[in-house]
Amino acid sequence: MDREREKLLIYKAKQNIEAFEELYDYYLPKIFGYILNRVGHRQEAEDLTSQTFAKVLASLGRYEDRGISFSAWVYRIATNVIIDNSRKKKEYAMDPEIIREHVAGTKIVSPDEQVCLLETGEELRHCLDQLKDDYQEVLSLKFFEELDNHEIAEILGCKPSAVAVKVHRALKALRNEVENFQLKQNGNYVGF
Amino acid sequence: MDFNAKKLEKALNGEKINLGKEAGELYDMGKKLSRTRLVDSKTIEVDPFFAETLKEKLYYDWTHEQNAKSEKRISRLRYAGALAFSFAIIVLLAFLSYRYFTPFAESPKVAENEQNTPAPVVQNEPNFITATLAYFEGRVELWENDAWVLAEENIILSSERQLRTLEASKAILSFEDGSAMRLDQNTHVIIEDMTEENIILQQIVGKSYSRVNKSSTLAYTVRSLNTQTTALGTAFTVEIDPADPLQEVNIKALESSVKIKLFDQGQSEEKHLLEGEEANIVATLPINQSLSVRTIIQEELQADFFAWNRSEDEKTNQPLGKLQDIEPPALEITNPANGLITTEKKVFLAGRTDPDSIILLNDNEIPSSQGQFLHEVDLALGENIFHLKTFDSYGNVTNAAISVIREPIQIAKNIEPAKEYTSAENKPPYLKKDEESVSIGNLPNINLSATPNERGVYLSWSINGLESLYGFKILKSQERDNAYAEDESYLFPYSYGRHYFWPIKEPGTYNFSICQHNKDGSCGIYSNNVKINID
Repeated sequence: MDREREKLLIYKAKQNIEAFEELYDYYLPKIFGYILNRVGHRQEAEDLTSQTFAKVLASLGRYEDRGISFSAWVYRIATNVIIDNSRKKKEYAMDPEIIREHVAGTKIVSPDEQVCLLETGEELRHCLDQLKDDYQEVLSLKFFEELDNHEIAEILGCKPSAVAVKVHRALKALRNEVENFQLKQNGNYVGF
Repeated sequence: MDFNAKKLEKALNGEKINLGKEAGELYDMGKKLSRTRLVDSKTIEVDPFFAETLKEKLYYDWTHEQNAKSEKRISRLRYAGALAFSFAIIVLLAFLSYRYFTPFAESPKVAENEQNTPAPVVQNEPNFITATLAYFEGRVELWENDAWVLAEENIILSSERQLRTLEASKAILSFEDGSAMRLDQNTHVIIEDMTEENIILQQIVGKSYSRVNKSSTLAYTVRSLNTQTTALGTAFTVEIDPADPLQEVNIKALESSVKIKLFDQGQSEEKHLLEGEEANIVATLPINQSLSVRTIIQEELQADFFAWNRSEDEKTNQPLGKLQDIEPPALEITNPANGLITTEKKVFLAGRTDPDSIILLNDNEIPSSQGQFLHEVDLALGENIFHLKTFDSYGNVTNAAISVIREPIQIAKNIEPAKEYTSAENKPPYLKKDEESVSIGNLPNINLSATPNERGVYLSWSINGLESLYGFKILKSQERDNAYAEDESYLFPYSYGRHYFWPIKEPGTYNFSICQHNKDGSCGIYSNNVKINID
């Protein structure tokens, strides 16, 4: 969305919800997709998306474009909602059956990816869930949402160079987590 | 930056680079992770039911929060008002006590004009305004508790109220700043927001006329489909066809100018409409193709809805703009009579319109003087239809059409040859026989008719069974009972002419007749006598 247009809509949306509709229509799929990729559960993703937009609307009056774009601001809110939720449900473990059930009907990227998801994806996703919140967040934005480092930096509130470092560290942490998981499951690491 | 992190970043960005073992593993890990994503957020299609339900919930929460804020504001104002009132009572009591206990104390001298000056009143200016359903006729309904209920006149309406007019109904929504929205039948409007800064209305369907008060500083906006129309001190209409409410919106700038803005999927476009222009916006087309602007067709303003709005604006001394004059000009055709059947090859079209109007015959302008026109036209055998159109300087138009049937000449076998009479004989032969009951059915005759107006008499005649190669003689008499012994005559030289306007300035009773003009100047066949009064 054009930045100037977005600014105008935000300005109007502060007084009139009708102007928010266009922002909503634009961001809803992005945020819903982001959350669904993070939580892997359609129903839960819908709940968290609702919470995110309710918070966006409630705090819209306080939002000011001070270097952070509206897009980054909305992603931050969504991230906080996801983190709050995961704290509340720390024990939640993704069940592949649940993924299959709830993702059914959602557009999966390709059949190859489906195979990957069903054979090894669950384990990798499980390991991802074990990482620190900020590692989960940066990996999710980088590899699920495919945002570039500038966009991620804006969401995380850091420099783009710091994003590269964070991605590197997060991947290392994920590799360690995978190794630990494999050892627990099979007694030895077989790799993916 | 960490060297491995830098290399990894380059590789992830698609650069071909020799990664070490560790960075290579991490690269593979990242790629595998990206393949585990469930959905592509850039192309995902959200369940429409979920999207709509969430939107409604957000709207509901937001409006309730706004209502709560408004109520809080009102209660704060009430509280402030109560405090001010209490303070005023205390001051009054203190003053009265002072006066009571010091009855003979000398009153402070106050200048007379100061005594007469009312005490300044402290007013709390609320930052929201209301609307009133100032007038309605027919059936007008308000949306209340999830149902439409019959509206009452003068009901006060706040933001977020909805009203609609049903068939053969209309309503006036009046705002505190003096602006008004007048609703035609089958119109549905939502009052979105009313504050000290702006009035925002959403028109779902139907036709509305917005009269934005000239002296108001509020921005007045009507939203409709993907368009919003904003104005300061102007008049404009917004129309959405009830038969296809999602297709097209029409906006007419009737006085001063308005700004319209189109929205479409992140894009917007602005256009200023000047007085007399109208915009058609097709909401289903891309934004750069959806808008077309043209001059308002004045004939469309002759509809009852505009006449009503004109009279309402006139009552409140608002500038009328394009509605200054929406009365179509008069158009009266005095000759020939519609449906005339004649054997003549030509006929005079005569009549009148407003003095400043232009008259067209079959789309070609014909001369007129002070609105009077007299124009000769050829007749083809059979039916001839003449379309007359007159328009005034404001563009108001009146149309009329007349039909004249020309039949071929069929002279009856028993017609006697035309007999010549001298003017000394005074009367045509058939009148000599029996003035009251003579039948002229098969006799050659001239039939004269006369139409008076304020400037004279318009004479028109037809001939049957005769020719008048040397024209006609028109006879006028004021003193006598008929015109055969004329006071004045006029030699009309055209054999084909059948009309003449005789100017008369003096009021009185006049007799006219006409006769076949012979080569030697004498009269042949006489017409009937026509007596007219000029007031």
